[in-house]
Amino acid sequence: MILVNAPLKRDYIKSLIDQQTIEGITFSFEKQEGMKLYFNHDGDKVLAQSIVKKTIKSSEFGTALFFNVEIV
Amino acid sequence: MSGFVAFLEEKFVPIAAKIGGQKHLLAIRDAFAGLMPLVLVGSMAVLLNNVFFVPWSLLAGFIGGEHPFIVWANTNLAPLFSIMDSGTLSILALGLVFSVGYNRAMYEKQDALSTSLINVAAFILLGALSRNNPDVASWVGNFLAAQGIFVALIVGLITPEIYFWVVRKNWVIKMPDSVPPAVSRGFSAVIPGFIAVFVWALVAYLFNVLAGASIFTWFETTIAGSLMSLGQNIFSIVLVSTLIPLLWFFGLHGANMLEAFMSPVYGTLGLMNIELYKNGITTVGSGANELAVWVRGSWDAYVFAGGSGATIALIIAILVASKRKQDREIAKLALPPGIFMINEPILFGLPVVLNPIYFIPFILVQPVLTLVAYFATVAGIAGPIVNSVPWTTPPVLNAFLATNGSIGAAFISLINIVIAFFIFLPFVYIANKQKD
Repeated sequence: MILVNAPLKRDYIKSLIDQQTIEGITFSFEKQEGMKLYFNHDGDKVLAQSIVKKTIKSSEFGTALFFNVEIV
Repeated sequence: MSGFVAFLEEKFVPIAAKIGGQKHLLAIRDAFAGLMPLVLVGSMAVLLNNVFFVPWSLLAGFIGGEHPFIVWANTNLAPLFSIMDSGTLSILALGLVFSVGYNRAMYEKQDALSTSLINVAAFILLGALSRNNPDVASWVGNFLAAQGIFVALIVGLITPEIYFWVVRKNWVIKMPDSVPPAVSRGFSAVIPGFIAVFVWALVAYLFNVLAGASIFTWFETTIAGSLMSLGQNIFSIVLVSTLIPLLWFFGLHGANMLEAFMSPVYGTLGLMNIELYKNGITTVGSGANELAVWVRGSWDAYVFAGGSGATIALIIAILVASKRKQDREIAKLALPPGIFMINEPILFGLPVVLNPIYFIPFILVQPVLTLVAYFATVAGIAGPIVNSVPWTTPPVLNAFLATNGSIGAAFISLINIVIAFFIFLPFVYIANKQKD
């Protein structure tokens, strides 16, 4: 599972990742706890973490947001 | 707080994203980041000389400048490391103009190599190889290093605009498909390159005719000093120190937004300090040929203990006083990365970000520590920053190395951690009253 810590724009981040297949890995939103967003995924977890990070960073608001992505 | 967060999301994040994603600012940020190998290799060579080999080194302070080892090392080793410096720190402006061109071209999906080379050509023809200033750093005979940084930025940003404009007009020489790509690319760059270089040749000519000096000399004597003075103003320094945790606290990427300002001003001041110190200058002040009080490395040495917001002190305060089991566990996990200035585990784990309990200490701590370190440096208690050390160097050691072994600097860095501890401590007690 992938955890995204995101103080701002959580709905936006969720829309970037949830139900998306990126570089062959499919993500689905699991739950939200405060600023923590959890996503399930198939495939390799390290690759999934890297994809999520890259996807948020390269998005419209990516350069402005302070977030981190962890494997849990 | 949720209303304020909603306001930030709706109104501020789009503006912040525009600033953070602005291609020229990104090019500046990435260009400075790209210089990292040159900065660190050169700094390591200068550091070795400053610590061990020259008569004013840290070691010489203990065993005496006349000690046979120092005399031998100054003759046989110091020149070797000075040569390393001449190809690294001493050409940073040249590296920057290349790097800015490269990054601009990459962001615009243009020919990065040709753009960077044309940038270098423009920088050199403007007079970068010749410097004669009897008042400031008279020993520097060119503008290839810190003295040329601002012109390198201007040239680095404008030249690609001219180059890309010509390319977009399609005023390029096109070669048949049978010509190898590298040759074809070279020919494509001839007309855009000629026009860009011609524009700068015209600028160089006009400066010589109208101002009687190169753009470098004119800029150095009229604008650069004011920019540096602005950077040394205590209000500017405290403002930056306040903005950084404020942006982080609300989930905004402080580094992305401030880097395009921090590197050209405070990074350049840091490079100038290194250069001044290796030429034997040790006095601190705002005059010509004096070390700047506050440079980029000052934040790492004195303020960012454990990361932005001096969070190593918060970790210690939690380990000492927290009754919340969860917080103590997070502090234990966050301590090892915190020693090496990485604080995401505590910022997101506790969390500090968007946590009303820690808002006041997190925002307050940096300006307070900055003021302590600034006035300690002005008073001569803490040494100024004269070496470049990696930002991941642990607190106190960072200050000790960056100031070339100033015990006062290490002491102030330690005192700052103690001050930060007492700023965070009452809020750890407040957090204790919250239910797990």
